[in-house]
Amino acid sequence: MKKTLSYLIVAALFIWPATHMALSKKYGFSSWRLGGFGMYATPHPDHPFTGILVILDRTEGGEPSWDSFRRVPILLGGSERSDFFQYYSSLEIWLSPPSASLPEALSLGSVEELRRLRSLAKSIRHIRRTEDVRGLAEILDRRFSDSPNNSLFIILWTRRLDLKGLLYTEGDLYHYRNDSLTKRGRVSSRDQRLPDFLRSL
Amino acid sequence: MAGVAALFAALILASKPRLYRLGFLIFLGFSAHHIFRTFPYTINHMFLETVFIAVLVLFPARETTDSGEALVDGTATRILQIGILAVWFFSGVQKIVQGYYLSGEMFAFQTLFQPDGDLALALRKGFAFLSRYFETPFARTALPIAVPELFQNAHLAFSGVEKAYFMAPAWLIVIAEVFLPVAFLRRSLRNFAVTALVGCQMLVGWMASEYDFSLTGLAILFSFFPDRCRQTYPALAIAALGYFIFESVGRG
Repeated sequence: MKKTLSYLIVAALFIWPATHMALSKKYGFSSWRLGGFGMYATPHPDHPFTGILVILDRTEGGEPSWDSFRRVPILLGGSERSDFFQYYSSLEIWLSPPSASLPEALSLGSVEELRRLRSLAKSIRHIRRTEDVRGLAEILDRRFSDSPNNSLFIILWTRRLDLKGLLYTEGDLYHYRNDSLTKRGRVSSRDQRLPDFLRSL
Repeated sequence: MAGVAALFAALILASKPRLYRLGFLIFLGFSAHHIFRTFPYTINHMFLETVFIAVLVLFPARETTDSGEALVDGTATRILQIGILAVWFFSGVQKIVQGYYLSGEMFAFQTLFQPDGDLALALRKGFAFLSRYFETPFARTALPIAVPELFQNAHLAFSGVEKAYFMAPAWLIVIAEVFLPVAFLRRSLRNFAVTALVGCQMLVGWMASEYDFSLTGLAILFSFFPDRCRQTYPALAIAALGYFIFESVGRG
């Protein structure tokens, strides 16, 4: 019994790390989590270059118009360490058209919602990514429930360093409309349209 | 405070030949509670330490026969030794699979963006020297770069020597992580592998500021040296205490 148990533990010490490595790679959850041995193989879960970029398009459906967005620095507050986010999270909100009142709307958010946003920001690169995006979309959608034809475009950014060009960002683009969240593919700072958009900010 | 007192009590119990399993059982309770409290965001280390402590509880170091003769059982030590070699090996393999570490990105991040920490400060000194010596654009860039200023710095690119500065230590560490546990399998290289791993454990512990796990790792690695099986248990108790104090108090 004792011998069998010891063999089982030793086997687990080899089988689980290998399994964890494959699952982490395939499903994109952090290699820092769930008992693998791959710390430092991916950025730390609280890595400041992992964040959410929210693009709110209040126009009638369609793709986001990249030229018309502007940054609303209410959550960053000019710093990577905001009052609400007591750690590096880089949750940023971008808004179109510029006349929209997202700062005012969010500043009226309840403490509970702010806590949830904080949790969402922290949970990036953790598991349950799609659910987190949906949660964020639902919060923002409620904020704008009085404005018809809301359409949220959310980019889950991973800001990375690239030894070829220093700054490299890539992310999953989600579209939230009529309580439905759809993944619309990946976007990258290497896209033709994105560098111009970022430079114009 | 009550938690720290319980940990000290566990340490005292763990040092008593007849009661040490109870001490480790308390440690096990703490780690299980921490995993439950933080799941699914539990950092890998807590799972690993929990398995190690569970091994110490399941396989006692001393057993007394019917004739009263005390026996030393090295089962737990052997499992922990295999465990620490697996940790090093898979840690290296996963870094190769994911690419982030191997590309030097981890060191580049620490250098350019990490606001504090021993490793970041040390890396920045060397990087600043290189940048000035080779007159790269980074020589005129204030470090660390703040996140909001990232887009303004998108034009910056590393020179070859700066890339090498980030990639060389990453490759050396990954090679050591994969090679040393494999080298251990060869009897003639065993002493070299263990000695090198002790050095790597201290180096990596400093680099990552993971002093807590380093204690555990070193305690297990020292057990590879002959006739040290019994000493491993109190050493691990001290390591476990250090770990929980760091984890519970130091990190909130």
